[in-house]
Amino acid sequence: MSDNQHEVALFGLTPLEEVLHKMNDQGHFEASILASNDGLPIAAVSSSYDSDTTAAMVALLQTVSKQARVELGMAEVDEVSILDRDRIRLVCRYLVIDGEELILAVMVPPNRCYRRATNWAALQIKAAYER
Amino acid sequence: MAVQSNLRDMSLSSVPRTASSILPTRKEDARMAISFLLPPEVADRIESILAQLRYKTQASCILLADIGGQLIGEQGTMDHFDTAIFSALTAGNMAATAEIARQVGEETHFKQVFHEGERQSVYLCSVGDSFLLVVVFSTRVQIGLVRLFARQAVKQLLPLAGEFEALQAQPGEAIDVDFGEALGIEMESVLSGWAAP
Repeated sequence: MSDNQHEVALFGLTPLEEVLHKMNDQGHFEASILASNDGLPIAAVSSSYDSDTTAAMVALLQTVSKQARVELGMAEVDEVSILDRDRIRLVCRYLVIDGEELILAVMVPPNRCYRRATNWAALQIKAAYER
Repeated sequence: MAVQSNLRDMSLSSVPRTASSILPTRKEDARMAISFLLPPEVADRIESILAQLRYKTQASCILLADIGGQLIGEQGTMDHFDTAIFSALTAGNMAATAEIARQVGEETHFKQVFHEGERQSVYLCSVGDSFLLVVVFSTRVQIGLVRLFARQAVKQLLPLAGEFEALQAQPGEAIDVDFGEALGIEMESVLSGWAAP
């Protein structure tokens, strides 16, 4: 995407949607969403996935992972991922910003890295929240 | 100023055209009410928090009102939309949901109320016990976003709400000491004009 096209694509987006858009470009992700821990979508980049359903499901995953963490005596959960048979990976990264628990979820295509792009997005989300 | 606003609301049709033309609009009433009750720095801080919230959520309109529906601050506008009436309606709405909360056994009122529309939605939340934050936003905006940043705004507004409550509790300082005497003179002058022919 050229710079000009990119500017047009970002027009009218909220600051958090802009962050997701740029992260998707960096990581070549198929979809991404930022959701609250009670399952409400905060920001989403339009894709074939329904944002309400995705937000609710990633919040459910967080609840289950929290329970597993407590039962197994693990430290704070950093990420949960689900890999399907087509090698597409759903990655959920957990962020706590000013006491608010947020979930950053991305759909990663096969054989793609995602840590760097999602780390970058986590910092940008924090900055956008505190700005 | 709030008294003047109420008088205007009650008797708008009976006010002569010349008199009604010099009365402030409802938005002006709201701003006057703010300047009358709030120190400018507190009013500015409230406006700044509401403006920030509007920027972050891309809301169409944001209002801060007291629990009785008196408008305290606003950001953004919409066509055919009277913010003073709207804030009164939302206060009524919160009061109705407080009763619903009581009916279902809640000990306090609901903290948030969300109305989802086809094109616009409305999110209401309480700021402390005495104030309401109202966000009118397009359905293109995610509810989670509005909820997240509204909570942030509420945290910032709470100390200011406390200051406002303290000011409201001191009516003696807001009204000049000569107010009673001046009112008496004015009333006498008006009533003497109405004396029987």
